Amino acid sequence: MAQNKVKDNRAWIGVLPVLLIVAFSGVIPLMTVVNYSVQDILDFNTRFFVGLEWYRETLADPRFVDAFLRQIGFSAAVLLVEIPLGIVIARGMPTDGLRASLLLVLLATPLLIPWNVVGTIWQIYARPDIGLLGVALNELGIAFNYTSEPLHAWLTLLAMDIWHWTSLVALLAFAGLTSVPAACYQAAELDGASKWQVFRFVELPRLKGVLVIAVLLRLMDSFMIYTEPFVLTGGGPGNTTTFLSQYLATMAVGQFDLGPAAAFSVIYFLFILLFSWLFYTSVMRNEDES
Amino acid sequence: MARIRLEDVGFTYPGADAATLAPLAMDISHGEAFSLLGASGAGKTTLLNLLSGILQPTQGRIYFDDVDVTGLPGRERHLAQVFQFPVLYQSMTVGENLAFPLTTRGSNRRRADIDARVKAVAEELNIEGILNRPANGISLFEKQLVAIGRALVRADVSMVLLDEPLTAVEPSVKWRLRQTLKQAQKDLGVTMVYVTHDQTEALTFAERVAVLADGDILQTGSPEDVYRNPAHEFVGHFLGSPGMNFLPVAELPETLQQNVRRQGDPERLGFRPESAKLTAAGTFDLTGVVRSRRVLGTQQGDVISMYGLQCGAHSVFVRSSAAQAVGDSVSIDLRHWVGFRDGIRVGRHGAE
Repeated sequence: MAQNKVKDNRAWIGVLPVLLIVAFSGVIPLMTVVNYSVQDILDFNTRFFVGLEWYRETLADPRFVDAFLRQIGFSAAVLLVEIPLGIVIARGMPTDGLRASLLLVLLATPLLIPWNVVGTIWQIYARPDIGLLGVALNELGIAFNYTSEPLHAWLTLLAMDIWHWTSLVALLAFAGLTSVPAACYQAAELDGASKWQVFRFVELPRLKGVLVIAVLLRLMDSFMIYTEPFVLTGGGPGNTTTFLSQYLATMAVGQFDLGPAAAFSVIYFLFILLFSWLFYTSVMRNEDES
Repeated sequence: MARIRLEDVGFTYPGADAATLAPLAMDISHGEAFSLLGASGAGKTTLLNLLSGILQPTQGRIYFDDVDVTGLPGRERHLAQVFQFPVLYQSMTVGENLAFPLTTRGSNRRRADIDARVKAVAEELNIEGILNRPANGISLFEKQLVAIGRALVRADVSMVLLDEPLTAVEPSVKWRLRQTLKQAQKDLGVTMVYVTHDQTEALTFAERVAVLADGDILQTGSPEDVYRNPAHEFVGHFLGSPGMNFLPVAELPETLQQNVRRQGDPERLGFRPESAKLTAAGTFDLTGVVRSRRVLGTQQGDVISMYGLQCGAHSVFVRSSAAQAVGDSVSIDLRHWVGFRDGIRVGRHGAE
């Protein structure tokens, strides 16, 4: 017995590196934020414990609520366009040959561009005075100006995100589609299935896994979007394209309101966690039922 | 159900030098259990794809009941196929899978009719108990049964193609699936074409077997006939385990040689391991020396062994209940043999 006990204890040393890595990369930074979120920090030596005051204040802050709703709207719009569009592109792809390789490279290109460069590209591209898109639209008689029209700013942002990230969904869906055995298509053909039925009953069930990943990635990423809108619109016109992360950055590093910013961060983090969890469990529960 | 007729059907892959399938003819009767047997690379899959409409023949015509279907896509040929591994709609239940082919093609079948048909097929295959289970929650064996059920569910199906349907199933339940398949074929009178490289499966399933090699049908006939009287050396060699024994006629003993030459003057003589009788050295057709003996089992109290014999420069296998030891000289009495010239059967002899 005693010997076993000693062995057991020593085994814990093996876990130590993981513990350290997780602690320094995850737990300690997160707990620092949690710690800040319950204090009013005037300077490093003057701080007061304020309990959940900052949480209450953040949730009641109309600017937070607005940014939060905008964020949900943005993520929803992005997902609604990118997921179906990605699937459509993937289904239209040739499965082999030179054309397939070329298309894959082409698709992957937007994913390789740094985010602030993407923002800059679109910032210039959509400019009504010198940008190709902006000028072209204005020439067509549409008074397009994303710096003054909130709707135009939104559309430009969405177009940019769709341009940037639909490829990811398409590539994932393409990988999923290539794993569908030819016999499954053949069986559906002989059963007389329509094109829609082939998609619904042959492809979609086999795409489910990759699509769950695609939705989760796009949900988390779009919910945390910062760089591109920051470069493209700077949150404007007014606050109409100010999303959560940008508002947070203003609070934390602009105004050094560490306490409220920390509370904000924790709420933000919990929301992403909650959404991802809700999505994942609901999808996977359906899996068991079906 | 339909009669399937192939006229001069040949297929060459684009850019290929040689034809994958030589122009061949095939006639499968209405409601027949037909088997296509061949080694891999013989052209089985190509022929199957021609029947199912995945490929179009580069020459010849295909008729289903005198209707030319050569240019028709698979869905318009009204056939069904069972694949090597179970192909199911995994998001549906077993029952929905079975009903699916009845609900497509804008069919306006009544719900009650569909349910009745699904129930009938499920009963035939003994899967009524799992109709409400999700299709991805059943065993591989059951999945393949469901796939077979989906192929049988449409009463207007012209034929059912079976592409090595037992491949994925565990050996222990293979025979059960084969039994069920055979029974369903009989009960429903469906034309079935069973494609396989496994001779046991082909010979036990089919009323007629076509042996395919190098893109050509070498012989079509009843399992019995194909096994006993191969039209081609390859067929004799390919069927049976071990296959037919072959000996050059010129090296046979004088009396036997004369007898053999009277039957179409063959170059080579073939006989099955079980169509020879072993006795202690005497005056029979052939003589040989026992090189090996492997006991196969007992039959009606006799021990059956597979003997490896040295006959002159050649080795042959004989299945016999004789008790001989390695090194013994024995006589081989041929009860049934087939003579070949240039690989083609020219004569045969024998009772049984």
